[in-house]
Amino acid sequence: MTDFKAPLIIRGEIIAGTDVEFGGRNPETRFRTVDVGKYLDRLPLETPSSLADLYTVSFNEIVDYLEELGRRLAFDKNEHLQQALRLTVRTSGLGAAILRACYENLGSVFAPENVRAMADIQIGIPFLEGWVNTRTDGGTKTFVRAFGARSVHIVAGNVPTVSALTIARNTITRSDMIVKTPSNDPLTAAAIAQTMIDMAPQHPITRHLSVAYWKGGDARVEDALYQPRNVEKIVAWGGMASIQHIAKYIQPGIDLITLDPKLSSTIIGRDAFDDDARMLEVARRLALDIGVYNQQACLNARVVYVQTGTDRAGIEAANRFGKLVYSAIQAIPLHLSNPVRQLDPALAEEMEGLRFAGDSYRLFGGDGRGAVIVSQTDEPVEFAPLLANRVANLVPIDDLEIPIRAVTAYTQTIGIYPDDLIPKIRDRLAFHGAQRLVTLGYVATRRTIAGPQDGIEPLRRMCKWILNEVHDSSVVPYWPWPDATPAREPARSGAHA
Amino acid sequence: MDKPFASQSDLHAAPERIIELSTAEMYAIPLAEQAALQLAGARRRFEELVERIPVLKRLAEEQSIAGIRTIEDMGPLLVPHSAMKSYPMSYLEKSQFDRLTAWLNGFTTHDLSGLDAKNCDSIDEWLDLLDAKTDVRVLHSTGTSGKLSFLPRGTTEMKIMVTGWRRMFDRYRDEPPRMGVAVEDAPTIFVQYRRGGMAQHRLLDYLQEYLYGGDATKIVTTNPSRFSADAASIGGRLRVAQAKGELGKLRISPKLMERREAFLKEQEKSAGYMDAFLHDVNTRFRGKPVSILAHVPMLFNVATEGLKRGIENVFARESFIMAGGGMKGLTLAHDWRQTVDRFFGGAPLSDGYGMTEMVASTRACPQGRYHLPPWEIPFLLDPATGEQYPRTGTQTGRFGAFDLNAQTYWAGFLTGDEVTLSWGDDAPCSCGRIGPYVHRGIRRYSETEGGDDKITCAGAPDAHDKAIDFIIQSIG
Repeated sequence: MTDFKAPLIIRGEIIAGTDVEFGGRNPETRFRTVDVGKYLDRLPLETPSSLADLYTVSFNEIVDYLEELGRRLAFDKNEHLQQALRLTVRTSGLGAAILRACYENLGSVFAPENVRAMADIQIGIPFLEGWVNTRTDGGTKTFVRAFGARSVHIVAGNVPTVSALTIARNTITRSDMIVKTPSNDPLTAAAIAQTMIDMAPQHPITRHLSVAYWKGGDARVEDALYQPRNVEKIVAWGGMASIQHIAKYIQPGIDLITLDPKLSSTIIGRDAFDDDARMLEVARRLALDIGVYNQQACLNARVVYVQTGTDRAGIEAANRFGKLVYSAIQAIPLHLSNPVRQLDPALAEEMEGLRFAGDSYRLFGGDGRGAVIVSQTDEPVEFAPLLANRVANLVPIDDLEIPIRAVTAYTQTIGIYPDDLIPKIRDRLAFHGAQRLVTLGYVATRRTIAGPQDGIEPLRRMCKWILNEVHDSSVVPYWPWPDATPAREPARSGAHA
Repeated sequence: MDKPFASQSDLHAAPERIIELSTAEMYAIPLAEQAALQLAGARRRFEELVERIPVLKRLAEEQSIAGIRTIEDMGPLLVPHSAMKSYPMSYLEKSQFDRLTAWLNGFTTHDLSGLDAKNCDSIDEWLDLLDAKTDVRVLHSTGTSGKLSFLPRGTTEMKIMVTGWRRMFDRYRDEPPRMGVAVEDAPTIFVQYRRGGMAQHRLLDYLQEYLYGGDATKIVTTNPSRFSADAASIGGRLRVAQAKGELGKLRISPKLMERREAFLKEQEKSAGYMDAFLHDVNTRFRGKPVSILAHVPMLFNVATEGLKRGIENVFARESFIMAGGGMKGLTLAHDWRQTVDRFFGGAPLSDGYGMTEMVASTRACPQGRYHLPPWEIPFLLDPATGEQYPRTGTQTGRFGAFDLNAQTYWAGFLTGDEVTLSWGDDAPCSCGRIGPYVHRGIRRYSETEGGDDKITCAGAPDAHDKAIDFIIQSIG
């Protein structure tokens, strides 16, 4: 039996128990938890007005709270996080060194500069703090304020940072949140919640976070929970199957925000192949885009279009470049990327098949250390969506039209080289569906925490945007009543709170 | 059988004749003799084929295998099943059938280099050309996202498939027979298309010829037309493109699109075909034993259609119903079994384990085990390292097999299946069969570990592909 226990946390209360066991087929990845079905009456926030206590807390106090939380998430002192790492090291596709680095950086998500940037850029702090007079037109004034909502977040488990980011975002919006954890990371969100309880058990922020695991699609839980009387916003990361399950609960009164599963690609223009030194530099940058987080994330490079040309010299250049990229992947330090024991089985089967494809592909590597597949034509491999564990596909091209046209609504990030190519193609990439365009080499190592994600601004979407219009008597509703004498203007109190 | 019973020494020299032994004879061969037979057979196949099949030659060179000294030497020569669809998709998209032929030529002893496939516009045309001009009978899969696997079985092995089919109906000791009458005396019913290039369609052609002496009325299908490889492929590609929102980028020649229209029109007739089929079996074979080739969802569909028309209890209880292949990912009504029994008449459903790469499948014994016949040499590998497990006891691993019947292609394949195999040495099955056997509960390694609930932010189109694969499979 597994020793891992994922507590059920409901608004500051830790409910320990081991009623049910979940996880993968591998016994090492299993964990026990409480049967959420027994607590369905307590899981949702009973009335929306119970959010009011969050409005006794100012934004500055929220920043202070999160700053203190960040400090307490120091990995070497936080037993909850240490326990989470012990499990994720088995369930995640990431090696211990990368995971440890992720956990060591978890607190920085809550750093004041990050929290302020997210709030100010994506929402606007004044909108969180009060009614903002957005327009005055004669006697008409409009005010807008961003309110929190009762939300459920179905988080992805490939990188533990997702749980931290979700909690930070939710706190900024003053929402009540239920985190539905994934089977590949059932402990990180709970560890953060437990740290909050240790720190400030009665604080409204602590009392508006719940963390639960149930098997995604469990109708017993979801039929009861996903009702407009319980939940206003559902934020779902990844997992086509989970999003399809949730979609059936969508009805007026429930807003579904999907951060769909995505894939990313790369476009490398002709200049990169001018000379050997430049080629090496570009190979190293590309290796980072491919390898960081072991290519487990949606932003990692998978199909890489290289404008070497497709004549004999071009293919030859692509092959030379492929070899350089493979070596560069092997040189990435272990806290950013690591070899795995074996490739994902579905990908491994495809890789085995490649050896029988004749001269259509050139292969560098191919085991748990990763691989670079160089297409010998301008076609990517058909199994490109399976690429992971540091396996990339270089596709030589003559014309940039090919990669531009290959972009779809499932394309998240595109790494581009050189930078002066970006303004020439970015509008067209966006028309086709691309959602993030980045200088090659910075795709995975640097990421703006306060930017849009997957073509939307999740923080804005997570808020309820309330409009208040105030008209003084100089504004006539439709037409003047006959014989009416204007009423005396009542004393006005400031509508701008 | 037209050939006399082969002696042990004959079998060492001609391993393709093992399958001519009756089921009782085959499973009575002592374990050590089975191993000797298999080693001799494997050695013979390797020596015959290594210079004639380019893919095998390359594999042998890469693995530095010059000859088969022990059966373990065969392990590194197993070809992953994905190799049979390793050609680039653009060959299909751009109708480059000359290149597809060159690729296929690497897998067979039949010389395809003289075949002029340049002018083929479709997979069906290409298959027809191979049928007409060569002794290769390609078996194709339905494929994921439109990419089909192609296995170059020869006419030699096609005939052996018929022998393998007969074997299923051999009585084993005092076990009840699988069917109430001799296999030649019952019609074969396939609840799908009559013609096509998948293993079952090809098998029907050969059953008609070699089991029924050319009597076409002994083969009954729910649809007399052809299962088009192009329709399967294009259907897959279209749906993938639709799912990705990139329909405009799909490359399908107008000529092929016309054929898809024809295919869809053909599909519209299917209700009429179903009426005719139900009428036919209900008049000609009512109350009689028949042999049915299907999987459970197909059986359920036909039963539903039949019951809708008020037809029940059509066949004798002594019929044989092959219901392998699992549920194909579908969730059927909870009472599917009652529906099937009510229509088909209550014959038991026989499950088995097999794959297109082997000439015949094996049916479960009364203990629910799939006993591998001596012509099928099993291999069990560590899924992570590819190391072979010792050939003893009971272990779980990645299943591979070598089919000694194949003489024109290299029939050593590595599946993607996780299989629990008993080698038959320390725990013989109480049914009495000697030799290795596979336990129920086979699964694919590529199935998601930990189910749907392991959520990552990467992926997507692939999830669609899997669903689409299924839609295509249910076209029939």
